[in-house]
Amino acid sequence: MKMIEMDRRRMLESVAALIGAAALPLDAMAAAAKAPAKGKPALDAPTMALVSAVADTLVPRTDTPGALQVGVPARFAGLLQNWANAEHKAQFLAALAAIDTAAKTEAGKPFTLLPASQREAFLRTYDKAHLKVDAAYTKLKDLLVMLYYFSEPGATVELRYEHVPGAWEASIPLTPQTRAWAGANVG
Amino acid sequence: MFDAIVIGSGMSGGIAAKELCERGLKTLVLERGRKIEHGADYNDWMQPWELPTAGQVPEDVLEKDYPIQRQCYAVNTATQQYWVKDSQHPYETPEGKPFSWIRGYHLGGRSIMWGRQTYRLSEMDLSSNARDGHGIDWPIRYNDLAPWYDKVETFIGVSGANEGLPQLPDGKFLPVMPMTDGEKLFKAAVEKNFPDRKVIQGRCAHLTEPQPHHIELGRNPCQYRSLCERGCSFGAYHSSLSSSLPAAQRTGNMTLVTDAIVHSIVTDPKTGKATGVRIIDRLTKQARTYEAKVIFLCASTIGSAQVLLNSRNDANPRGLANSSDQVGRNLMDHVYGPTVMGVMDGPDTYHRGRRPNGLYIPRYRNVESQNESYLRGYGFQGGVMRQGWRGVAGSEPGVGKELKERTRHPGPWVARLSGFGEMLPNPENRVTLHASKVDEWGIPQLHIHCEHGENDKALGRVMLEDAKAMLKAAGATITYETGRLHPPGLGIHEMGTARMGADPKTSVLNKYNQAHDVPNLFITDGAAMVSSGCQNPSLTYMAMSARAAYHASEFLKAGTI
Ligand SMILES: Cc1cc2nc3c(=O)[nH]c(=O)nc-3n(C[C@H](O)[C@H](O)[C@H](O)COP(=O)(O)OP(=O)(O)OC[C@H]3O[C@@H](n4cnc5c(N)ncnc54)[C@H](O)[C@@H]3O)c2cc1C
Ligand code: SF4
Repeated sequence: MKMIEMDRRRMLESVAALIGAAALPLDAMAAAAKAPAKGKPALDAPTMALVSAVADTLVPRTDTPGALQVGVPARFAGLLQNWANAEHKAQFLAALAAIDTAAKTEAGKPFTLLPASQREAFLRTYDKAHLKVDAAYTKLKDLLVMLYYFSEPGATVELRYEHVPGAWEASIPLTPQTRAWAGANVG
Repeated sequence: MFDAIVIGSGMSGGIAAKELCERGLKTLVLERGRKIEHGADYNDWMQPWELPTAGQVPEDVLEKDYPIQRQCYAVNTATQQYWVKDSQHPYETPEGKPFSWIRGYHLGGRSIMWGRQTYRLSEMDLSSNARDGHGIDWPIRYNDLAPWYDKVETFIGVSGANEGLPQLPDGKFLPVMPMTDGEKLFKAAVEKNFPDRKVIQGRCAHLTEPQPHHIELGRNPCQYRSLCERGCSFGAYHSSLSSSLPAAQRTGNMTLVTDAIVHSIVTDPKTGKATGVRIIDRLTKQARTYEAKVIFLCASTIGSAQVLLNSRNDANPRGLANSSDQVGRNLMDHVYGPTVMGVMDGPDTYHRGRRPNGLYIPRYRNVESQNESYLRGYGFQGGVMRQGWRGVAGSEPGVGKELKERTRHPGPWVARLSGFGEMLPNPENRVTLHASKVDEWGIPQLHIHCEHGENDKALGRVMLEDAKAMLKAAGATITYETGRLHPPGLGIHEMGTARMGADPKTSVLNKYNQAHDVPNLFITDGAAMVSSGCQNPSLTYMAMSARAAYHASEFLKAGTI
């Protein structure tokens, strides 16, 4: 067993070295996704303001960072530019605009101009009426929420993430303090 | 002149190469795809926040280049390098009869992206065709394969437990990965309510406790990351890159040539024996020929059929080794698609680590004898885990602090089952060469005609009902169910296109995986399968590869081929 332990440590070191050193082919793509291409912004200023307000209301700052602190709006813009096709991009933008339209008719103001407390009350009602009913809204919410929990603070400060757990513990106690594991492939 | 050529470096070719090299044969491995470096070319270091476009492959790229591959669950930006571009590797299917050919052309083939579930076929499986008359009888029985299963399991490392089930033989296992508490409850409930069924921990090709022969190859214990499809720098699951090719390499007997697309097998018209293979260089498109005394064709079920059919010549107008007209026929996959999920009560516990494995329910229908209205049977893969954050966040409405607070905590126990059913062999399910269309290397494209028969569809229906009944027996409330069958191919267990058999008139290969018509040609991938069982098949391909390599080297020594 000792030998295996040592081997494992050596392996971990070499993996760490690899992360530092290797020029991996997907690096460029990763960078592209993080920082939307210079020049024309991926989304115009009013749309960025709207998605920021929606993301902030969905996942606000509490005792941990919220969507704005972890950069969800910029990542969302990056995904619309580098991942979504034209049709889905339009659907996401329409789902955002629909929130704004509803705010105007139901709360009397564009969503971004509502005070924070009203935003939350409005979006709670809107969410109840639209989640799992309105496919475009459901996808929009899933995407914004996913970008938050996939972010480093979302995964490691709000939830818990171990890139290399090193063990499978099939049964550990669950207490009111237990945080969920982040990452993909977690059930 | 080599002693042996192995065509394809995937799951089957890797083991064939290792065994031939270890038996002292100078072996050339030809791989159509690019070279991949174990470790250096993997993306398993990427943290969730480092994944390009959050792991999602751009939709326009999926649509243009991966319309078929995108159907596979393992396609994401961290694995994108492993899937063929369908746009570059086209094939045809009849209108309304899709076949999903999921593949990767690179060193190691699909042994990099596979799901690592590892099961033996049983005596029941190897005698099923004889029992009900569908397909022809296997020329081998369980005892012929058993020592080779032992050998391959020991070499690759398989985690699992012995269960004493006749329909799913025990093996040489490394320590089992334990069940969650939800799974223990589920197992107890199912086994109590359905005495004919067993819920067991999945058997998977992971090193829970590496043995000295694994450590020698630089392989390390599994770290429970479930990033496996990206390639594992720890070498903790078996792939050609972590395991079989390094073993072949260290004998000093292997020569590896990548970017070499095998176009056809060359034969001597006088003897009818194979003399070598003709390849097209992937990059320069120049043709070359390599010669050897014996050839192992391991280009995968459909790839190998393509090579045989394209090796047609004046003496063999229908293709090589095809006097029986069975090459390309009897294409099978597993009946796959029906899936059920449900929320169930369980103890206040959680789990740590991401276990790259799940539960398995071995076949329980028509086991002792034929007693259902349909033939053969099916098994299930699944698991009972705490619902993850994405499901918890999306399960019900909520915003703001409330949403955050809910998602912060592990969700309820969620049970999940997916069926895998045995598909009957049918000679009309077949691949043929397209009459005129060729790919960019001048090789004829394939036409794939494959559809589910009535028995296959019946299995899909009972599978769904059984899965629901088992979840209900465990007290689960069903939250998701689908009975839709995926197109054949998407089970990614395609097999059968050059079946074994005792009679050269009705089969392509004999009991040694040796072509009846071409004694120095062996085919040891899924093409050789005579029936499909319902178990994940790769272990059987590897066992056949090792077994055939032994016989081929004995025949060479004896001068009979
Ligand atoms: C996502 C996924 C999950 C899976 N899960 C499981 C599982 O849990 N358990 C299981 O048992 N199986 C599983 N499989 C199936 C498993 O991967 C295959 O059964 C196995 O890899 C087949 O081995 P093979 O050697 O026949 O083909 P491959 O591994 O595909 O290798 C064939 C090789 O031949 C090369 N080749 C093809 N044509 C030519 C040519 N003309 N010239 C030169 N080289 C050529 C290819 O590039 C490739 O490298 C899974 C597959 C996938 C994709
Ligand atoms: S779970 Fe095990 S095999 Fe899979 S990537 Fe992690 S260490 Fe490798």
